[in-house]
Amino acid sequence: MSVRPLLDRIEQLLGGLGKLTLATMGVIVGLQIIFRFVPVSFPSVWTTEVARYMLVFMTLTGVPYAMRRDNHISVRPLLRMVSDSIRNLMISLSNVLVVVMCSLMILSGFSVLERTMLQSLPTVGWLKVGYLTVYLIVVFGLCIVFIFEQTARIWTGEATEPDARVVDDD
Amino acid sequence: IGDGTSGDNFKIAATFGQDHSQVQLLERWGENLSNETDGSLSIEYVSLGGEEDHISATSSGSIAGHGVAMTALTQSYGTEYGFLEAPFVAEDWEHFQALMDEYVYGDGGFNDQLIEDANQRILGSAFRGLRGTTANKEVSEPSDIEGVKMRLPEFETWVNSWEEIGAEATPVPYDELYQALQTGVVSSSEGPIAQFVDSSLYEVQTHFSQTDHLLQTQNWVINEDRWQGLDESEQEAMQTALDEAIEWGNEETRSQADELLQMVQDEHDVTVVSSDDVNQDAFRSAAEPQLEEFFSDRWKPSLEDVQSLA
Amino acid sequence: MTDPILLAVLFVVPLLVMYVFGVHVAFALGLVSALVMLLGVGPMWTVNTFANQMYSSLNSFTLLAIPFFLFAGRMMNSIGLTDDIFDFAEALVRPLPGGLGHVNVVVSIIFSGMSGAAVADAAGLGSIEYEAMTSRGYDGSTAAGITGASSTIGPIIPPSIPIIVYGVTAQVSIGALFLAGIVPGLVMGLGLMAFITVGALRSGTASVESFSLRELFESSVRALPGLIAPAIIIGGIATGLFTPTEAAAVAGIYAVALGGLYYRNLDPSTLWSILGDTFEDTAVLTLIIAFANVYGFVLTISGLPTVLTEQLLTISSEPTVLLLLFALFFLILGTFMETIAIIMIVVPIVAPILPQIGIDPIHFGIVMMVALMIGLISPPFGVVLFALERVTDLDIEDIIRGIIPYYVPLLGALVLLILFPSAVLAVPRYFGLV
Ligand code: NA
Ligand code: NA
Repeated sequence: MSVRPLLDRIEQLLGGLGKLTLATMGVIVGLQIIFRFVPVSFPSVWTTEVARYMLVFMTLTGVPYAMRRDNHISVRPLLRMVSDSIRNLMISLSNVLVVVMCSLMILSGFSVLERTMLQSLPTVGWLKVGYLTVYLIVVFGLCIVFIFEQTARIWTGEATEPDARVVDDD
Repeated sequence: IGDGTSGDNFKIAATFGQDHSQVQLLERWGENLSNETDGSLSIEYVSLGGEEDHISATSSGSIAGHGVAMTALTQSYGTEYGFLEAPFVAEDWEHFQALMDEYVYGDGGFNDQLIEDANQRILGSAFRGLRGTTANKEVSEPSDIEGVKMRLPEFETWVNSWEEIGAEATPVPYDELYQALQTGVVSSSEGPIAQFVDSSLYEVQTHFSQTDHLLQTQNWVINEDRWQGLDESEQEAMQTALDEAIEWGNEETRSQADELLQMVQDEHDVTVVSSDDVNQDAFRSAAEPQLEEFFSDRWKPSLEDVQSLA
Repeated sequence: MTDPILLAVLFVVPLLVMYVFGVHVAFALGLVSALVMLLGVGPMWTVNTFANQMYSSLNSFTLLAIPFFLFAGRMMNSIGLTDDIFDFAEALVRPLPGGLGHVNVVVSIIFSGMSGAAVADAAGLGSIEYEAMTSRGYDGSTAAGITGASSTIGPIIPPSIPIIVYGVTAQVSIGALFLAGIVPGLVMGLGLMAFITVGALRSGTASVESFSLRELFESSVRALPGLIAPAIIIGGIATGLFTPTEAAAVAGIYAVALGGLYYRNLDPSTLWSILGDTFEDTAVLTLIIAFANVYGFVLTISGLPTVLTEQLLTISSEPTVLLLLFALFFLILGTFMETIAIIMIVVPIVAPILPQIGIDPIHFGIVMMVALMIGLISPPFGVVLFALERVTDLDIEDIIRGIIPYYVPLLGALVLLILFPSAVLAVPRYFGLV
C-alpha cells in the first residue's frame, strides 16, 4: 500500500516538531534566568507560562510519535510465553482497547473545544488553551491511524516481536 | 458514595485543608442548610486538587460546587471582568460588594455568562483577606519596592501593576516560593497573612507590610443543573444558609488575620507594618496609568465607573 | 455507600488484566478511569474530564524538570563526562566491597540538593548511573535496582517539592521539615550502602583490586569539569542564581557547553538525536503521569482514599502502631497515585487529629514522604519503574527484579524512623524549630 511513505513522513514531521519544541523550551527557561539579572524593558513573567504550554504541546506531539515507533511503555511478560497466534490475538485486543481510549480522548477534546477557545494564557493573551485542544484531537486521531497500521502489519506477518524496541542509542 | 447528582447531598470542593476558615464556613453552610431543611439537603466537603479541576468537575456535575478565587473564574470565562480581583481596584469590602451587584449579579452580568459557558453560578462571595507585601524591609511607600525582585503569581494585571510601581516582577512557581526567598532568587513577595504563615515565609522574611493592595474573595459556586433541580424554597434555604455562613466566616477571617499578624510578631519576630503606616494612596496612584490601560483595553467598565461605586 | 473493598478491586483488577494483555500503561490507566466512571461509582461520567485533566496535569512547571534532567543525563553520557566522573569514582572506591554501587548512592545523596522530584532524579541521574555501572561490567538489573532505590533519597533531603506541599497543607514549618529530612535521607543512604557491602561480600564479588594513588590523581584531573557540574548546580541553587526546576535546564546547557567547548565531540547530529530521544522519553513518561492524574482524580472522587484514611484512624490509638499502619497505607497508595495528590487528599484529614494521638506532625510528614517514595519504586505501578524503563535497555520485569532486594534496607530505614522519632526531630529541635 502506498500509505506507508506518507505515514513515515508524518512520523518524521512529529519528530522534528518535538525536538524543536524541546530546544525552544530550554532556551526559554535559560532566558528566564537571564532576565532575572539583566534588566529588560518588558515583563518576563510569560516565560514560565509559555514553557509549560510548550511542555503540553511536546507531550501531545510525542504520543503518536511513540505510538508509531512502538515505544509506549507496557508490561508484557505473558506475551512472551504464548504462541505467535495467541500473542497476535492479545495484541490486537489490546490495540482495540487503545483505539477506544484514543476515541474517548477525541470526544473529550471536542467537548471542551468551545470552552478552551475562550481561555487565554494569563499573560500571553493571544495563546489560547483551545489550540492545544485542537492539537489533542489531531494527535489522538493519528494514534488511531498508526494502531491500524501496526495491527495490519502484525497479521500480515511483517512485524515479528511485539516488544521489539527500536534501538536508537547513539 | 453518590455520583454528585442524585440524592440531596451536595459535594462541594475547596482547595484548602479541613481546618481552614473557608472550609469551616463551608461546614457551617452545611449545618445551616440541614437545620433549615430538616436534613433533607446536606453538604459535604471534598478536596480534589486545583481550582481548574474544581471548575471542570462542577461544570460536568461530577461535584455539586466549589469555592474558588474570582480570578480563576474570570480568566477562563470572562476576562472583561478581571478587574474584580485586580490589585488597586476594589478599595474595601463595601466597594467590592457594590461591584459584584453591578457587574456580576446584574442582568447580562458575569454570572449569566458563567451559567451559559460553564454551567455553574456564583451564589455568594466570602472575604478571604487583604494581600500584603513581604520583604526584608519596610514597604510603606512605592519607592521602597523600586527595583526589588518581587515574586508575583502569573497574572498579567498583577504583574504589570507592580511593574508600573517599579518592582521587578519575577516568575517563581508557588511550590518554589519559600526556597526562592530563602536563597534570594527573589527578595520580596505578596500575599495574604495566611499564606505568609502557611508557607512559613516568616522564616525567610523579616517584614510583612499591610499594603492591602488586593481584596481576595472565595466565591461559592454551584452547578446550574443542581441549582435548577431545587424548588424555590430549597433555593432560598440554600441561599440564606450560605449568606449566614459567609457573614460568620468573614468575621472569623478578620479575627484570624489579626491573630496571625499578632502571632508572627510575638513568635517569629516579624515586623508588621500596619495599614495606617502604609501610604496606600501613593501605591494606587503609582499603579493608575497601568490600570487606565487595562480598563480601556479589556475590562468592561471604565476606571471612573468603578471608582464611582466606592 | 459502595463497599471500600469492592471499590478497591474495581480500581486495581481491570488495570492488572489490561497490563497482562499488553495495553500501554498510560492508556490502561485512562480506560480504568473511564470504566469506573461509567459504572457510576466515581464521579459522574463525563467525557470532558479527560481533556481537562490532561491539560491541567501537564501544564506544570515542576514537570518541566523531567525533560531537562533527561536531556542533561543523556548529554553527559554522550560526551563522555559520565565516564570521567565514574572512572574517578571507581579509582576512589575500588577497595570497597560493592564498588560503584556506593558511588551510585553517594551521587544520589549529593544531587538530592538539586531536585525535589524523584521521577526527574531517576530519569536524569538514572541514565548516568545506569550507563556508568553497566559499562563497567555490572549486571543491568542490579544497576537499575540500586539506581531506582537511591532515587528515593532526593525528595527526603531538602529541597523537596513534596515536603513543601506537606508543610503548606499541614501548616507546619517548612524550615523545620527541611531540617528534619536530612538525617532520614542519610539513614536511607547508609542503609543502602551497608546492604550493598553485605551483598558484595556474600556473593564473593567484592573487589580485590588495590588502590592506586596515581590513577586516582589522573582520573580526578580528567573528571574535573564533570565534578564542577554539581558545584555549579547546587551552588547556583544555594546562592539564589536559579530555582531547583531551572537548575535542570542549567545542567543541560552546561553539558552542551562542555561538549562543544571542552570535550569537542559534540556534533549537530548527536545533539539532534539526543533531543529526539529526550523528546520521546518525556512524552511517554508525562503521558503516564497525565493519565495517572485522571485515575487519581476518579479515585479521589470515589471517596476511597478518604474512607480508608478515616478507618485507619479508628483502628488504634497507639502512635507507633498507627504510624506503621499509615506507612503501609502510603506505600500502597504511593504506587497508584501521584505523590502531591495523595498529600493533598490525606493530610487535611489526618493533620488536625495528629496532636490528639500524640504524633508530631513533622515526624508524621517525614515518615509519610519516605513511605510515598518507596511506593514510587513499587511494582506494578510505581512511576520511577517506568522512568527507568525509558532510560535503560531493560524490560520493566528486569527492573522490578533488580529493585526488590533493596526493599530490605529501605523498609528497614522506614521502620527505624517510625520507632525512633528523635532521628527525625533531633535536628530541627537543635535549631529550635520544634
Ligand atoms: Na543513585
Ligand atoms: Na531534594
